[in-house]
Amino acid sequence: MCVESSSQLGTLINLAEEIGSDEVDCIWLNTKSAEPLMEVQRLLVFESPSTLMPEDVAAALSELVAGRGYEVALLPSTRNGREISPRLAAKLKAGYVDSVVGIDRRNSDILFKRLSLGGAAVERVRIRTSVKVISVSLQAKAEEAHVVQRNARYDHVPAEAADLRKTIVEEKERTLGAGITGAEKIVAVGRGLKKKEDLALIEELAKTLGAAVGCTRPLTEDLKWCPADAQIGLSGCTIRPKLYVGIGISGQIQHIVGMRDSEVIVAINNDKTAPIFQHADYGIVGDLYAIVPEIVRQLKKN
Amino acid sequence: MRIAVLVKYCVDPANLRVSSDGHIDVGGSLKKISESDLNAVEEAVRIREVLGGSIHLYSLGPFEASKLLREALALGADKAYLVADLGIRNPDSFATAYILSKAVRKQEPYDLILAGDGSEDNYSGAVAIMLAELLGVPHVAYVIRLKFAENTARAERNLEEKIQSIEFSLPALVTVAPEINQPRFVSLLQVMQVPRDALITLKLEDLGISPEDYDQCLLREQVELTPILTARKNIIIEGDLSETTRRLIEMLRTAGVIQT
Repeated sequence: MCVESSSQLGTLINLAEEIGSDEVDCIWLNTKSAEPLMEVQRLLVFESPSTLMPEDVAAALSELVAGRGYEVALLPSTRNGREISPRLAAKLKAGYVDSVVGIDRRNSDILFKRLSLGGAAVERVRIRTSVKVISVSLQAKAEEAHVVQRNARYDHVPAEAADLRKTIVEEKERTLGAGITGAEKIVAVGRGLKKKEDLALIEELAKTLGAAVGCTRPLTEDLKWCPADAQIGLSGCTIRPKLYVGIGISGQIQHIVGMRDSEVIVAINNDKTAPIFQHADYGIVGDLYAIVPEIVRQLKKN
Repeated sequence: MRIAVLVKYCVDPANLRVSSDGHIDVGGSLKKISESDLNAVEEAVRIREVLGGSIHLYSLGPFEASKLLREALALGADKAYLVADLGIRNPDSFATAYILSKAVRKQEPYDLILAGDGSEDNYSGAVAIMLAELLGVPHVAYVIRLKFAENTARAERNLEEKIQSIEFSLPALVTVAPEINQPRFVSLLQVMQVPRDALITLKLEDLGISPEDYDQCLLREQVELTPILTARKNIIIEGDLSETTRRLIEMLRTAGVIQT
């Protein structure tokens, strides 16, 4: 089991226990110094004089897996984890499943569950090889990990940085705010909005409802009207608010994946065939430029 | 510069066909070329506009994929190699990477291999990185800007919490995010003008892969695929503007999600 931060530990431990591992070692993936982890028996930390690239980490891990006879390697399904895992799996010629949200047992088989077809379906996958590489989705409902004090023993394992002719020249932290993940109410907006200035309309509704503002992918990635942390969906965040109001959003599956666990879903769109209506509790077919101000007016009147 | 681009022929998740008994008819669903792979082709064309060279597309899929591959070729690629073989059934990411590695090896050397950072249907992003491993080249993933100077390349990567600039030398494999560019529009006429022999189909045999080799590359199998069904009220509120709005607010109050 490999982690980059202590916050990932719970999800990975839970999956390791579901798989039924009797011995779990934890490997610290970051090149930064390890946080104290009390919940694992043994913590392995890579020792290397230079920065390790995903290629290097995969190489070091494959030696560890082969050398120590691990049967399952669990990695977090972060960007870094998803760079390391396929390399590791290919090196070991081990079956790999990414973004695993849980497991099922069928007879003596373990089936790994993941979202498929852009999030429209769940697939269950059997791995044919005895060694298995799994990247674990951190989007899965966070359950409390069984925190058992085990007083981790620290071991240092050597890792080499190969000459990949690849150098990090600059890193700019992005000021992602608190985001909208925890908000109780969310008003989300999509391509139905005609221009950036019209966001004021959406913000006014959000303010009146006491909601945060989220959006679809084109609004952050293509149009850059909204901050990256407001993006809801497969490549953005997953939200579970009490109330979700989708405005001018057609309902591409990649967005739906990020909001379908909301308690109550409202959709406002001028196209009555828009897929979002299939995922909504309440829908109004019409012009958002008329409906949104009217909702604000009526809410304020009360 | 010699560039290879991986393009995936995949199910369009926005146009799934679900049968009356609730099963997803993957074969009968609409197909497309995965969006970010088209970004990769577009990026290759832009690089060639500046540096010259050639662009070869690589894909794995049924023979029907050739129609969509012609559309990708029309973006400006020179050749497309489609590995289509009835012996390829349900390939997983490793088998796909293995077959592609054999196909790419046949036409080597390439300076740059491009691909989207994850397919629209599966978004695993595994095939490209496995291919880099099998070819023994470094990879640079999640790229949103790519610039070439003398003998080095510089890429900006979107790592969500940070933007990382990386300098690397070629050969390398680069996966791109959709925000890197906007693929150009291709007219039907341009698709028709793609030379017939620009698309080359290959069989496993052409790549020296026996049925046994193929079978040994299947490391995982899908056992079940079930659609996620959402049980929603699906109430469409109709009427004039003030009436629909009033009823919406009332329903949300009843549902207990707004107080005012």
